[in-house]
Amino acid sequence: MSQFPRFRRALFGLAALGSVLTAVPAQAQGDLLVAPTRVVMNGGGSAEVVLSNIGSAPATYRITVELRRMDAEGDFSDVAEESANAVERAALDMIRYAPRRITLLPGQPQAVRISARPAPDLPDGEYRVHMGFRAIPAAMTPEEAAKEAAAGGLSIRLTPVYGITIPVFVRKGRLEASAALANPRFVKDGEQTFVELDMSRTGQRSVFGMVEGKTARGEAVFQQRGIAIYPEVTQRKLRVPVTPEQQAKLTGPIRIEYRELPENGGQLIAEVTSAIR
Amino acid sequence: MRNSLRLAVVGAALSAISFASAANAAATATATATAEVLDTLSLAADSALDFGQIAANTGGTVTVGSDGNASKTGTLVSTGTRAPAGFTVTGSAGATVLVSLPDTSAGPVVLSLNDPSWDVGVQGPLPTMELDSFESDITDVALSATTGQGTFKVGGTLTVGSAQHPGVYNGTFDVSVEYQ
Repeated sequence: MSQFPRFRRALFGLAALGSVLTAVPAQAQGDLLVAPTRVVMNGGGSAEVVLSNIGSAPATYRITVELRRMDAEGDFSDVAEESANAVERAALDMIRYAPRRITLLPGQPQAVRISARPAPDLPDGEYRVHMGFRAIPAAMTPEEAAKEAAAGGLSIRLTPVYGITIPVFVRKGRLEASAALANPRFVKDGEQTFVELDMSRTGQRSVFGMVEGKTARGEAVFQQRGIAIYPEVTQRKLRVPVTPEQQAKLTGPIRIEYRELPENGGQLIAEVTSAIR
Repeated sequence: MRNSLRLAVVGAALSAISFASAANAAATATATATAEVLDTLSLAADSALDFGQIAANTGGTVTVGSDGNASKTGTLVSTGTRAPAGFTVTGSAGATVLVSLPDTSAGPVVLSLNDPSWDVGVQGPLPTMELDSFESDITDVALSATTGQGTFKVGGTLTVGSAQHPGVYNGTFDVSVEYQ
């Protein structure tokens, strides 16, 4: 990218136009915390998610239910309600939640109640929505707008609407799933090295857990938590960033394990022992 | 008041505790209290996406990259501090979250002139500017194995029209961190 020295560009701007005006950075408001980070309801039922305002100003949050699809890279894509398939449609229809809008003082938490009642004639399976928590940006007061407009020139007020989504699962019936790992390898993206891995899944539900890489002597070299394979994919890739020090230890046969999280029992889901190339 | 107890603890310690087995404990008369520490995920905005100062001239684009590099096209003048938006994610140590940015394949984010006195009948359509090509320095944030924190930055491209009408332009764009 060609970069003029900044002062030269500034001088040119002032000399040529004389109407350079300040952009107003948006105020950081609406920082938030959500717990827990995933909800599983077996056969329906109810659950609570706590939303807390961790910012320094009061904020109003909007709670939404959205659809996502996982792709073969392990990334999410948005699914608009009108292009939902039958399973996604059923998930949207069975989830109830309240409230949908919460105003919180700094440090104040509030619970959002979620309930789900799958229809008796619904096929067994895993139904999932993603619950979104986002702050609604405070509107500029007419006085502020008038003041900025009176200054003339071009001013930009760009407000990020930022938030968190967590998956909410409803499982109906006895669902089984298993997974496998294959083909661990090193890949580079820019300066960063990753261990890349093919993960595959069979069965009627998602799998979720942590991936850990150990040397032949049993030393844990890398670990990544919160890795899911959703039912809409049978395969996904996983990339775990590793430092040069970690990479140096990853020689010879490496055992890579995919386990449930310790708090869910820590059961082994899949493993592969292989040299990483 | 199980809920209020739970919420009070969340507020104080940023983790929720519930006495899930209270009913069992009562039935068996054995005082077993189970504390369930829930995983938390938080997101804080550290800095705003700033396109600096712009004089429209005959228009062009200003791009602020997530790497902090700024560039422009066209005859507009772009000066001042230009910086990407910065966010901090805090969650369980070693966890991974995805970053979602506005999908502008269906259309850009539109910033509109904030002028309540604008008369569409006389002055024509309300002036707008467009924001697209959002990108972040990382799409999968791996939270630190020790602190549980990760950061990411978001940049984009602003398109300014020829003789863009002066005034305050408002717009919002969505950024989400998504737990799997």
